[in-house]
This record gives sequence, C-alpha cells and structure tokens, in this order.
Amino acid sequence: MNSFSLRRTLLFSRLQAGEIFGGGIWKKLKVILVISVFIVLFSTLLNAGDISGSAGYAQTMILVMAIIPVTAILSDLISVRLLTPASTLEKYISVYIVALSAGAAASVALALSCSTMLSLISLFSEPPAEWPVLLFIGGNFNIAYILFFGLIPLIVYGELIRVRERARGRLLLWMTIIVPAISFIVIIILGAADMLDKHEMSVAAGGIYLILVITSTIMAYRLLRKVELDRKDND
Amino acid sequence: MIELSNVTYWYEPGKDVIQNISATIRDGRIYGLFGLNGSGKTTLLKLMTGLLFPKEGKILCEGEDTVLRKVDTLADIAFMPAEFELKSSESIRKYVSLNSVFYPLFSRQVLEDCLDAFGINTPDTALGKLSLGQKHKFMLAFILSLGTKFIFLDEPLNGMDLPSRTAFRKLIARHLREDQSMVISTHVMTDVSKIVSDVLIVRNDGTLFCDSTVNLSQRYSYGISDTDSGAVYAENCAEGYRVLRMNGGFPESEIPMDILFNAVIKGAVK
Repeated sequence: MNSFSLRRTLLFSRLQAGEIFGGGIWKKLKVILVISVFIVLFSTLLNAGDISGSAGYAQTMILVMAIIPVTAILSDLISVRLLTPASTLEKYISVYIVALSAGAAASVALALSCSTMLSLISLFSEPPAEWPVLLFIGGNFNIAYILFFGLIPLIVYGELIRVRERARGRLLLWMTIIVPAISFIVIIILGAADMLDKHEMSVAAGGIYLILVITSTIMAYRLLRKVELDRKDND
Repeated sequence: MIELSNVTYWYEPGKDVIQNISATIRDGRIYGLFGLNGSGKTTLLKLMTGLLFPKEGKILCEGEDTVLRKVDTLADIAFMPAEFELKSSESIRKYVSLNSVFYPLFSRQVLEDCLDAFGINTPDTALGKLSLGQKHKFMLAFILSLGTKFIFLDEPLNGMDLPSRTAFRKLIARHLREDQSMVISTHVMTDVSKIVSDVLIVRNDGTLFCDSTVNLSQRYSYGISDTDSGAVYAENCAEGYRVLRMNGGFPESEIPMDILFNAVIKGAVK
C-alpha cells in the first residue's frame, strides 16, 4: 500500500472527528453555551462593561478556545490510534484537518452565541454600543486573527515533546519555550532602543513566527514517528 | 510470521523488563502467553505490535520492521488491550463503520456471528450502555472480524462469564483462518489450554520460554505418582505428587498448563 493516500487520510480524519466530537447535538450546544457565558462574563468584566472593548477580548478568547481541542485530538491519536492502518504522515495531516475543522466550527458557533449575548447586554449598556454586536464581522475583523491557527503546530510540537521526552528530562521542552521567547524579547529590546521601527519589528516578529510554525510542523512529524505507548501498564 | 531477534526492553535503564528474547510467531498458530504479574507480558505484546520499540534487537512482521509502522504491517495486526475506553455515546454500528474501513479483510458476517454468539444483538446500542463483560465481548467480536493476519489479545476474558468463555473458544475455532495467528495473554490458563498450539512464558527475569504443546508432550510425560523421584518437576497433591518427567518412551500425554508454567517459572524446565 502507498504510504500516502488522500482517501485514507480523510477516512482517518472522519474516524477521529467522529469518535472525539461525534454524538449528541444537545450536549455540544450546552458546552458552547457554557463557554460563551464564560467568555462574555470574563470579557465584559475585564472591560468594566464597555461592550466595544469586550468584543475584542471575546474574539481573542474564542480563538484560544477554538485551538485547544488539538490537544485532545493528539492525545486520542497517541493513546488509541497508533495501530490504525494509516501511515504516520496520514495520521499527522489528519490531526490538522480535524483540528482546523473543529476549530472553525467551534469559532463560528461561539461567535454566534457570544454575539447574541453581547448584543443583548449592549441594549442596557452605558454608553450605548453599536447594535447588534457582530464578532469577527465588519470593524471587528482583523486578519491577524488567522495567525492564531498557526499556533496549532506549536501546540502539537510542544505536546509531542512532553510525551516523547518524558523519560529524557525536560531540556528540549524548555528550549522550545525559551528560544522563541528570547527571540521576541530581543525584538522588543531592539525596538525600545530605537534600533527597529514599528514596521521592522512587525516584520521581524512575523518572520520568527513563520520560522517557528514551519520548524515545529516538521519537527512534530519527526517526533510523532518515534512516539511509543511507553506507559508501564499492568504487565 | 513475526520474528523477534535478541529483543531487550526497559522502562528504566538497568531494569530490563524483556531480556534478550528471540522467538518466532508462526502462521496458523495460537500462542498462550503466560507470566506472573509484572513479568512483562503486556510489554511483550506491545513490542510485537509496534506500540513499543525494542531498546536492543529487532522485530520483523512479514519481513518489515515494526518500528516503521508501515500501513501494510498495521493492516496485518489487531491488538485488544486489557483496558480500553469506548466512547459512551457512540453506537456499535457507528464504531464498526468508522473503524472497519481500514481493514481490507473485515467481514461483517463474522462480526454478526460473533455478536450473536455473545448475545449482543442490537447494533444501535450505545457502547456506554454495555457492561464491562459486554464491552470485552464486543471488542473480541470486532477484532476477530477484522481478518488481520496477527491477533493479539491481552487478558481478553476479563469480566466475562463462563458461557461466554466457552463461546470465545468456539468462535476462535470457527473463524480463525489457517493463515492467521493469535497470541492470547492471560492469567487463567484453563481458559485457553484447550486451544493453544504453542506456549510462551515470560520468566521474572524477562527471558522467554517458547515451545509447541506437541513438542512438550513428546519431551515430557505427566502423571500422578506416590513418589517424586526422577521427576523434572513435582508438586504435592492429595494423591501424592503431580510429576513432570522426561518422556522415556511413554505415550505422549497432555501436560497441564499450570504444571508446565510452574516448572518453567521455577527453572525446572529450561
């Protein structure tokens, strides 16, 4: 059999999506509702009831919530599906397909739900906000939000390092956090010292971000090929 | 076949769980895998399936290194772990439709026959509504229906009642093809003693005893005697001793698994 088949990749994606997110629609609606209440409460409290400011916070929180399920998808892959007859590459691509689809679906559902709640609150807010509040639409849309989905390979890589390097110390995990952090700090310092202007800082930060995303995408695949189920069960 | 060559595995360096094991899982055989608690049975199963990678040595499945996890190799292997989780809201039908598509030799007929024999007749039942024993029965039925060349079962009879254990043996006899092999790890030897053709025993030091029941019957004779003289291994019993002797021209006799197991674990049979 070929080591890559699009059909098998899609079948594997369907398997993962079905077994992780499949099932009762009412349960999912309840979860969306609970998360929406949390997001709306948190964002309005942080902005002291200012709805326009809250919308920005709510959008960021929705995107964070939308990329979190990737950890569940990866954990499902490692703990249950290493023996499913699909190549590691197919399984790896599948993680992104499921994560992006689930993330997009969750973003839309949360955006609708939070927009409704914020619109209702804005009816009673002082000063009155623009009505209705529509998250991610019109003035609330920012192309930079798409960059959030670039965090998925970083999370996958971090999670795989955690799993793979458990027995070998945590040096690699810390290096993975510290090196990018230092890179961004250096840009900020250079900016503060007027050695970089705002535009150059954005380009430098974007470049580092892109390198991180590409590197972690490649490195995560290499780690996934070496993943073992090395929990010591009841022998 | 699956070939294990000088395989060693440890979770912590210096504490070998599996030590320099060499063995062959041949086609068309049923292996009983035995060992004391913590001896490394599950670890050995995981190594053979490619869930763990040997620290030393190699494991080849049909000539391919299991470490590579090639699609063809994975399509030849089905593994039922001792403990597994099933999504509680998912139906049997849905589980089967999502998972079976990866196995070219999957047989719905075999699945239906197995589920029928186990008394699970409602494919729309949510997996969460099945008892522990029923979950094991369902998983066994599913694994048997996949038609893979190698089937690995880790404590498959956990939580199963006696009639289901009998049904399990009958289903294996009915549906296991001649080119398929099975490795069954269990503590309850009586459950599988009638169906195994080969015995694998993991000793406490991580080494492996491996032989066929035919060879063992030719080499040793078993009986009850009032003396243990000349015995390779003997155990007290009400009538005197249960003894295992070298077969000095006696007719072949069936050797009870528990006696063989004790003899291997205590070093009387190498």
